[in-house]
Amino acid sequence: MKNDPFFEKRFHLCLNQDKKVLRLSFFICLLITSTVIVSLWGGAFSYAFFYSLLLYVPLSILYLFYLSFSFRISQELDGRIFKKGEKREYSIILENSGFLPVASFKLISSDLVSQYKDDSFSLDYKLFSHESIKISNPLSCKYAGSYTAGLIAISLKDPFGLLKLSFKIQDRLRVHILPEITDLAWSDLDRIYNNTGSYQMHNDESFLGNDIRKYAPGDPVHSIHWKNYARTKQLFIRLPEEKCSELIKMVIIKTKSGMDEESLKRRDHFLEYLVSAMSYFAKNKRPLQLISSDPAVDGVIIDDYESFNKAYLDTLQKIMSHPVSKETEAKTNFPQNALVLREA
Amino acid sequence: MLENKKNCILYLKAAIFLLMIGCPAIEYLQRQGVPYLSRLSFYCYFFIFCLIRVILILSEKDSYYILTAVLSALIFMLIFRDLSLIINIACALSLALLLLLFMKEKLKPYIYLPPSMILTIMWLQQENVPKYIAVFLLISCIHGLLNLLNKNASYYSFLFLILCLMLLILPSKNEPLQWTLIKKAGLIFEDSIKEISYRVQYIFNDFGNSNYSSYSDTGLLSGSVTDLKNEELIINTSPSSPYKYLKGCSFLTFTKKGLTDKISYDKNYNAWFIEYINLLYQNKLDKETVSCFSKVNGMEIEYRYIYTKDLILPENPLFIEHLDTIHDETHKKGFKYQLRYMTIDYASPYYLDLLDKPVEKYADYDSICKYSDSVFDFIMSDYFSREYYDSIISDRYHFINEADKFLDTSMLTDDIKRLTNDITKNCSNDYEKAKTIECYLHQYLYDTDIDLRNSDNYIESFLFYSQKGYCTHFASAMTLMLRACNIPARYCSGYLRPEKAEYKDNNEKYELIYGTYSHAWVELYIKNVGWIRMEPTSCEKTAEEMTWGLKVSHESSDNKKSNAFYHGPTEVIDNKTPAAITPPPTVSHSEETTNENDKRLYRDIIIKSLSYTGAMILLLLLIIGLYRLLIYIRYIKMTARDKYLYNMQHLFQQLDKISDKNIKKTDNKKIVDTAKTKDNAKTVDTTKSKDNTKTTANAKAVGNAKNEDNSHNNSDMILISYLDLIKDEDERKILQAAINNYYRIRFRLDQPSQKEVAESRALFKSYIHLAQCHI
Repeated sequence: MKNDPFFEKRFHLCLNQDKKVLRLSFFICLLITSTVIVSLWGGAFSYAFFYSLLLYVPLSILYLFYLSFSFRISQELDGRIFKKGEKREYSIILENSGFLPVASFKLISSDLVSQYKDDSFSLDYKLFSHESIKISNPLSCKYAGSYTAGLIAISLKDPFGLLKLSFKIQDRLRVHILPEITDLAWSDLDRIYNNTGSYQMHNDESFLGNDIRKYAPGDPVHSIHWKNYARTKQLFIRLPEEKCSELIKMVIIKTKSGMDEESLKRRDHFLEYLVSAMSYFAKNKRPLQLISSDPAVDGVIIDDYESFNKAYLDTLQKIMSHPVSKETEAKTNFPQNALVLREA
Repeated sequence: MLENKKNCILYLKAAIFLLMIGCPAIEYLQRQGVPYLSRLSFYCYFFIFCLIRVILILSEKDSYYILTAVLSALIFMLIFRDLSLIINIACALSLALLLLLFMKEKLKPYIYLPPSMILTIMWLQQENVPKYIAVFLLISCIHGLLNLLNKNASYYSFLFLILCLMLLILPSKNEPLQWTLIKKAGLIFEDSIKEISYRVQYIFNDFGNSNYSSYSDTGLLSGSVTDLKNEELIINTSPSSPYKYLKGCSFLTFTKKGLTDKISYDKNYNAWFIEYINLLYQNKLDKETVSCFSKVNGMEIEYRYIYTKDLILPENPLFIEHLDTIHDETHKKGFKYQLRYMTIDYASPYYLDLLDKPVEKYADYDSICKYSDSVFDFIMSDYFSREYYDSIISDRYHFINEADKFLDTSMLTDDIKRLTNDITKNCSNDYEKAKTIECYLHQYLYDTDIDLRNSDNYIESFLFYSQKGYCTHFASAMTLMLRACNIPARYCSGYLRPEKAEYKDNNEKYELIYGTYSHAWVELYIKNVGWIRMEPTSCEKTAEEMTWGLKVSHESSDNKKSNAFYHGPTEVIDNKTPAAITPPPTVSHSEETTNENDKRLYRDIIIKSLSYTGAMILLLLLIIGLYRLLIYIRYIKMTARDKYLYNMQHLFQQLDKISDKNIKKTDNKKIVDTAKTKDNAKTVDTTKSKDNTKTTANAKAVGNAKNEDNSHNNSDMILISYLDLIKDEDERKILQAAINNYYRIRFRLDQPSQKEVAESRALFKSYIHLAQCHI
């Protein structure tokens, strides 16, 4: 899909691939025959035959381009943010606003990412002047991420199917597909934080450090350093150790990737892993701070289900929508000893 | 409502297409003499029936159409009660009812095409088919064919209606298409290709041993000459025009490499006429006599594929039109100018008589004008102003001084001087000396396949050693010999008109001058007479051989009835050339000459074949070099990542080559071993071979997969497969690191550093060498 030239420009005119050689050879044979006839004999028939073949291609091209500008298209989708695999109501309204009828056109959708209930996208449609049709077909998306779903382009053919004009529609549907919440990352995180002993995942919030300061009225009684009081007869307060030692930072690096199947799968996996990691920390009620070069994402802390839900619906969408370029990534100062989750 | 409108449009469209079939049918019937048919009334009634249908469709009463149409037809018939109208109404009604069939979806694919084709065949047999009939039938056939092929054909009908309108507008003739525009475009294209090729050829003409014959404005000596028919000039003149020579330039000084100090035309290009007319005036020649050896003509010269600043002029130019608009620049193709010139028969006895009576005193402008107007068909005052005339004659020695510039004898040697003296010792005047030298040189052989550029004195080599050459050598030799006799002489470069001229587009007005007509000749100056042309080249005709042979009528005893003069036999001119004078004897005898010729032939063949082979190799190397350069430029333009991937992919290709070689080796070994050790050995070798083949197959498979799959299993497989090919431990480590790096960059989309790119390049290059060694 990424390599398809069609997706790089708005219009794509080419020979119809269906029986291309047969159609083209037949046309060329006719053109040669007409040229020979008109060069040898002349007369009204010869000239009409010759001119008709000569004019056929340019006239068909003009005709196809005119038709492409006659289309009025609108797409409706029940919500733009939904989960992977979830079916949503989807409909397309097509109208021919020109005065020439449109025969035999096909709808081109992003089959790679979308699935439809029936095969309405493989059918041939026709529209008379000022006629409109509505095509309804529930849609579901295969991969998590932000991309264009639904109708992308329309293809038209000339009467004898020699040429094919495909044109991209202007208003396309941009959807944000949320990944499934799974335990994909849990085993990895368990291994890092519990089994290896490098970090203990415990809930002891009363752990106080060795730093002290003088007691002030209003300070909690349990934080008084009694041993010190025994030695000095003065009240000192034990300061809790810095939160940063508990806060786990996760650097998210989401690069800009293509729309090919491999990239889509990779992104889907990345997002699923990220959500899984977020859910892990939410479940354990340990604070997880997201670090990203995107200011909208940077600094978001997930430490319970509420913050997880917010991040799932809001922050994740931002992560999906704003990929980080290599330059931005290089400029960003990431903290040391942090988890790095890179889309690769 | 929309549905009704749609039905109406579809119905009208079907009606139009039916009319496209109906019109030719009615027209055909009329031509066949069927009575009572009238096109106008038929169309009118058909239109009425269609209108009825449209109204019924819009009012949703379509089912009553047949009844309404039949009733209306009956009413019309009863009202008019005219047989002709009744027949036309009936025809229109039948066609309108037929239209209902054409609207049926099931019949539509089959119903259009047969009548269209039948009518087309019928009309093809007719003469002078009207354009609209042809267009209608053709569009009907196409539409019918489309109906057969495409069920949505009716949606395309408007396209065919537009096509039909365009075909009606475009012109058609009974004569076949002449393709004039295409032919013109083709000619322009051919012309530009020719121009480019001629220009390239002109630029590279001086390279190598052989030169193509073409006009030379440099005077430099060239090697052997090859004929090539380049169109260099087009002369627009009367076919009977007697011009022979077209001069571009002359040269003053002799050098070892040829002639230098070029003199092209100047502002005094027609000053020669002042001396000439004074010569005639002083000798009191009448018009008839002058007409026997002097003719004034007009000419237009157009430049084709010739690249020079020189103005090519016929001998003795009188007047060049719009000379002030001609700039001193290389003239381009299509540059043209008109001029008048005088042709002089230098062998005419009347002219030769004048040589003994040179100009002693110049007459005044008025007398000369009067005389000139009486003997020539042009008015002298139109071309020569008084001031110009006076400025020329004011200096009595003007012509002599001008001529004395042409006395350089730089290349004159004692041998040439001696030879000249020997030849001319019996001659009494300059003209006789010149004719003697001309006659002497005519004994030399004409040969274009000669190269005298390496000799110290090419004129001496020509005169005494080679004794053959082409026009350049003849003209140079004669010029130097004349100058040795203290006669002003100039080497002229230009063209010689052939006996049988060729014409552009077979139009005798436009004569083509090819590069093969390029020529060099000599002009000598006879004091107070003027410049006289000499033709030393042995293969060309001298002035005597080209003489017009005209005599004044009163002198002729046989042809008194002729008007002014007659074409008599060429008078034999005694050129007083001593018959005894022969070229100096050469050292070789005939047998020796034959052997030498053979040797020379073989040498030429060897040299030529060597040079062609060398040229081919050079060309091949050049192509390879260019290809390499293109690849290198492409490589430079790549991004670092692309460069890295490119290097690595080529590295894998090299490894593939090595592995292929290993397979072959293994196969060969297998054959040999099988022969030697029979069953047991065969079993062992086959196992080995299988292993190797498997390894290489894996390598290949992974090599292909490296662009597609990114699984680590494959990566491991590549490592194992490719690394198996490398025996050296260090090399294997380097390759392993490179492949790991490749997978990191290729599949994890990391950016390679410049160092990594350079390393990959070096690795790839080292494996090219390795692969070559293996192969």
